[in-house]
Amino acid sequence: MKTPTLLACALGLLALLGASAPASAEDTFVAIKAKTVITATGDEFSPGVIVLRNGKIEAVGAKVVLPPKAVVIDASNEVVMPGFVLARSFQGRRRGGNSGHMSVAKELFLRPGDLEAYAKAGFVAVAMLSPGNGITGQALVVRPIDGTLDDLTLHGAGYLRVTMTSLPGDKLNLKGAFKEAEQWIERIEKAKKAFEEAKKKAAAAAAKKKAAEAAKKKKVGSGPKPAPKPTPVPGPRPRPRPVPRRAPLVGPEPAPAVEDSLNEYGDEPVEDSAEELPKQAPERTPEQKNADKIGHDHDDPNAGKLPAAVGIDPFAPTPKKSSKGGPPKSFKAPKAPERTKIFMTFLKKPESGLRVLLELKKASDFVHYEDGFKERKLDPCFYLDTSGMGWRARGQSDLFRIAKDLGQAQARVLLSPALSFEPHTQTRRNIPQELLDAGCSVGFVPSGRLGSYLSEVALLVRAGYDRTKAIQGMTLRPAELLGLGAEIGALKKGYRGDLTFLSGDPFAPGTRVTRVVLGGEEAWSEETQ
Amino acid sequence: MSRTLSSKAFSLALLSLACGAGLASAQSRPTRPSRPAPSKPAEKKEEKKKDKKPDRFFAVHAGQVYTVSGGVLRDVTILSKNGKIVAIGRDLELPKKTEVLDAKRYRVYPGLVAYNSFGLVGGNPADSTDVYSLEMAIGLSTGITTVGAGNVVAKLTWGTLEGHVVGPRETTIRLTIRSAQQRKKLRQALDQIVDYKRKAREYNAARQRGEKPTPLKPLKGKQALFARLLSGQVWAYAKADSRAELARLVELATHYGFRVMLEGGAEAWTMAPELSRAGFRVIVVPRSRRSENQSTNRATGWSIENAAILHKHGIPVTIMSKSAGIGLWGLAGSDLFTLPLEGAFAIRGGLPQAEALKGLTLNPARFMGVEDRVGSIEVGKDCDLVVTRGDLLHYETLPEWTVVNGRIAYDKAKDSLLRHVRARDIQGKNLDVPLLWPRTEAPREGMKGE
Amino acid sequence: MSSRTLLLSALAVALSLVGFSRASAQEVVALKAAKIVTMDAKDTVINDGVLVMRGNKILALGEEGETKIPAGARIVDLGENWLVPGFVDCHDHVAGSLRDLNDGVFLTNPGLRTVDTLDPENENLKNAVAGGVTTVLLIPGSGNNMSGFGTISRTAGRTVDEMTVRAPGSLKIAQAGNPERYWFGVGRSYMNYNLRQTLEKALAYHEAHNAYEAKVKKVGQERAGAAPSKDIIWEGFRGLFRKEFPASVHTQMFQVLAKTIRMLHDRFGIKVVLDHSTFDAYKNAPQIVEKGIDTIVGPRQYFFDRTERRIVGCAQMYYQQGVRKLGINTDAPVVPQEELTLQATIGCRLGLDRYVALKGLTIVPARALGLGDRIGSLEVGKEADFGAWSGDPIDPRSTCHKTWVQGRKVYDSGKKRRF
Repeated sequence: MKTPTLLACALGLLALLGASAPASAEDTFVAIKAKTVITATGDEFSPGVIVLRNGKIEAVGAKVVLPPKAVVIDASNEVVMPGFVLARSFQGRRRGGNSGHMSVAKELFLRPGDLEAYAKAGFVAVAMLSPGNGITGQALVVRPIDGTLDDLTLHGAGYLRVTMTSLPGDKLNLKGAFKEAEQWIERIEKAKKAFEEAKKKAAAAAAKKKAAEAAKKKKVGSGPKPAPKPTPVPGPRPRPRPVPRRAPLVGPEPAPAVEDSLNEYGDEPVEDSAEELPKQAPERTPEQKNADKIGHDHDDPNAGKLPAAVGIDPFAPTPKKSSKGGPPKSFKAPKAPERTKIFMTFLKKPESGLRVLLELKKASDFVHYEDGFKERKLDPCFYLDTSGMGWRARGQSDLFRIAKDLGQAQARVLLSPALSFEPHTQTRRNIPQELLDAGCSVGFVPSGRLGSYLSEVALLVRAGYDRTKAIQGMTLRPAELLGLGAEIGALKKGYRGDLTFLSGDPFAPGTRVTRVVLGGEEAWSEETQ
Repeated sequence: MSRTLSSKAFSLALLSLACGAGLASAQSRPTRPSRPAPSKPAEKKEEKKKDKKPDRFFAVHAGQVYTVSGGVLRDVTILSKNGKIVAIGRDLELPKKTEVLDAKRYRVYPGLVAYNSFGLVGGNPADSTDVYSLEMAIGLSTGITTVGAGNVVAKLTWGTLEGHVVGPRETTIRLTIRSAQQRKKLRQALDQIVDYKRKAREYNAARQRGEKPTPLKPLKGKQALFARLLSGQVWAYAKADSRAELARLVELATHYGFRVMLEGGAEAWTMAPELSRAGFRVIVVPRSRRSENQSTNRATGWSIENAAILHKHGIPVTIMSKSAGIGLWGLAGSDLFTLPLEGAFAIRGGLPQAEALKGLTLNPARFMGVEDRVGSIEVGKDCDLVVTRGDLLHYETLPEWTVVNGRIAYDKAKDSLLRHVRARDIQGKNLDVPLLWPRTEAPREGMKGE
Repeated sequence: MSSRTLLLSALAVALSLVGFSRASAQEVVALKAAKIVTMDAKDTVINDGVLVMRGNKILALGEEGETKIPAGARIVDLGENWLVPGFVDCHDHVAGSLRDLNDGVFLTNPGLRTVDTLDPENENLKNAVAGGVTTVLLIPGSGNNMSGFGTISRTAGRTVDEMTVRAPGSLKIAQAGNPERYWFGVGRSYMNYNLRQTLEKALAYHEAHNAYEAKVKKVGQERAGAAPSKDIIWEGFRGLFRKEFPASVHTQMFQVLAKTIRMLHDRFGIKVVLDHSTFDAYKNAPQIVEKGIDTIVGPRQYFFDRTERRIVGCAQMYYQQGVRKLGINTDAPVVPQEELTLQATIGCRLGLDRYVALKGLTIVPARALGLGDRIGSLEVGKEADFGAWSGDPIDPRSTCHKTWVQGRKVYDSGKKRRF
């Protein structure tokens, strides 16, 4: 009787753990017992338990059976929720123009404690990029821990930041980036075509020559001398190359190479043009040959042929240095600048997508974006700067005008949780709410100090924003924007154990971040401050 | 049964025949002149492509339409398709999904054209205009639909960039002739062109004779532009106010044979005949002031009659305000916000009312080279309209609707700017002010005279 | 002839000569016009009327058929034109020499007066009459708190005496804006302190002299004792405190106007004419209505309200809230003096009633300056200052064809058109 119960328990345990793979001895378990657990998927448990396995969430609930040997973290006075995700912060040099290939990673030299401020504010993932106007670079997503860049990095290409706030510069810049990419694609296509054609021609020429030669050899070896055949023309006439004047007729040294990077006309050599480099010297007529036989053995097949300098036949057209003795076998594409490559890839394979964060400040910026780039089908995420439209217009924003358009496209939007004013009025507008109602996916970024983030979002909730949506706006939505929506931002099985502990309800006044746990390990705690 | 039916049917047939006969006979009688045949809207092409946007129709039922180029029409409908006017007439058949504006008790004018502007559209309009800006809204609220901005002619397309840029302004050559040095340089440059032309004629003559003369080097850059100036393909553009400067300008123009677009011309009224003979066009600011020169006995100084006198001598006149921007500081009367009042001041000086309206619409369009698109209400032109309750040039008239490219870009009752001024829904009465005034003739003298 | 006869005949000739000249000065002129806007208490507008004047006084006024035209009167037929009272502008800086704005002397210069700068040949006034303006209050500038005494002047006259209606016309006080930026930027509180202490001193002087005069009346000159010393700076203020002339105050914006009412009107009890009242000062309307203060609006005729994104006409905002002593000015040269009607035009464009606007150009400013019984309307016994307009004066399409100041025609568009 007992054994089946035990078995049942074991099975039950297994079931509870929902393990797809059986628990191995090396798994580490962490159990967190908290006053409240906010999952960001709509469920809240008070009290709640989270079980982490190897740093990933295994189970969440009001009552979860703890695995044996689980390290228990007592958070009975704390509220636990998924770690906040900061989808936009600035580090490094100001960049402008088209710096699509650049990333902050190249100039991030961190000292211990540099990223602590983020952890202190409850962030478990931070996207960093260069400030500036234009295409400023790729966002680097890191975790706020100490270590090498490799240790920190979560994601090397969070998104490409493109501003559309300073017109016409930004618009023309982006247009230029696409145009440049198109031009390079065209150029490479052309070069490839030229190469293919040249190759074909060379093959055809070689084949023809071979056939002619074979035919001639046959004819020469049989019967009386036939009428001299006309000189077979080896395909299209090669461009005459300068004969090296200083090359000695006889001598062991190779003729000094002529400056063959330029041909007779001073042009750059056309790459891989097989027609210019026939493998053999042009065929000499029998008369020419006979003329040279004076004083030589008539039967010597080499008679009349001057001994060649080592490796070089002075009457052969000078071989080009770059060709290494023949047309290149493979196609070498002209080198496009680094910054263009991202756009070229996108243009050639639109389905590969180009994750872009497009920044807007005015409703009109969106109109300009659609005017210039709607057909490109970039499908960007949007950052809306609702902080104000000038020194006299602090807090005023007309971005509510595009809420409908963004909603229809079900766009991902990132913005500050603050309320704004309609321009030139004292009428309040809740743009985050309007975007949410229109159908957008809304994520937040702090508008000022990191430490005020919670209270900012709290004000929005007090203004009527849905609580769960607000939680998601701090966690899951920005994670999705960074492409990490399946890893962080929610307390669901399989997600990373990146958690933020709070001293109370996130939207109650005075709540502080007490600790931050990354992958089951405490990364920051206010006690160890 | 069938018999009754057939008899009924028979009687019915007879009845119809009778009616038909009656009608026929009616038609054979001499009738009153019938209404003009209604013009049909342009045929809606069947769209084959899937992605093609559907046609956008907009119609205005208007009480009075001041076309500017073709008189005043009463009780007509203006129909536009994708922003262009396709029909004006009565009893038009409107396609389904036509946006209709009922303005049967209102007047419709062409949208005003501001020859210069600052701040209403962006510096590089196609790529930088804020289509929701306050300045654009204020411009629309006063009836302006097209503006010249730098080298480009743009429209105040609220909320959209579609059809925002009309095109580049017609090329003109800016002439500065203030100082003797500048005039000398200009003369030298023009003399070179004249010389070149002479050489070209000689060359052509020689070729015709069968000789082989040395070919001439083609003109490039500025010289080419001057050549076009002298052959009448482009206009010169000059800013001049004083009589002396104008005299020099006229002299240059008549000597070399080019035409001048003059901006300013405060003292132009003193030499209107000369300007007219030289074929000038003038952009007038009616109240731009210039003091009289007391030391000469010629007429000098500014005059409110400037526009009127120029017009009387056949010079096309465009009316502009002193400042090309929109001021928000409170001093009204010299910026684009009160552009129609500038027209009113020109009328004070004696300019006929219709000409003043033209000076705010068709003439500036013509000067900028876009008269094929804007400036009057005609089939084929853009649907840019101003709908008002009364005379647009009456000082109390604020536009009720402003239409740009067949879209309502401004609605006074909806926009907060001027909604509170003589609000539309409060007053149901017709505020049409009868055009008894102005009368600009001096009063008749009494018996003993003054 | 006897010497006696000679003497008598000489006397007769002399008398007749005198009689003749007086008769020409007393010529009766009757003007017929299509419309006469009287601006009287009953707001009478006469169509097809006639105005009879002699010298500088209006003798009779009424419909053509009903009004008796004295025999021998010279009849002038103005045809379709309107007769409109000459306009009165309470805020003018161009009737004298523009350099005498007294803006940078001291923060208060009460002793200075603009009557010293009046110029009968002033070109600006020649243009002013072309705009139908017949009377202006020439005041110094607003670069300091108290720039001097203004003069009520006619826009035409052969001598300064002929031009001057009254000097002092007003005391010019500026309570906002420019004076705050005086010198290093003294600020609002210093500016008001300065005004206060100046007026206190003036009041003290006035009361001292009042007391002395009362004593003299009671006990006689000898027994009254020594008179307090006379000071020409403070002497001018006595008329102010006796309400013989007003203080025309450059004041605008809500707080500043509120301060003007509180300090100048309430505390010092002087007659105040609010002479700009622009920006959002209209929010003070309830107080203005209650205390019956004259409000002259200009040169800004509109205000962009940044709390509601709307363009409001300042004059209309006052009128809407019940202010009836509402006038309009130009602050010439900010707006040229002859464009006074344009100011009214803007006001009407933004909602003000036309007749109210016209009133604000005529009788309201006249009363504000204390001249309501002399000018500002066309009534029997009032001075003959008016203009002949081709139509509605507020319509920019109309023009003023002729202007009369004190019964003398000073402008004729047929001779030389100026506007």
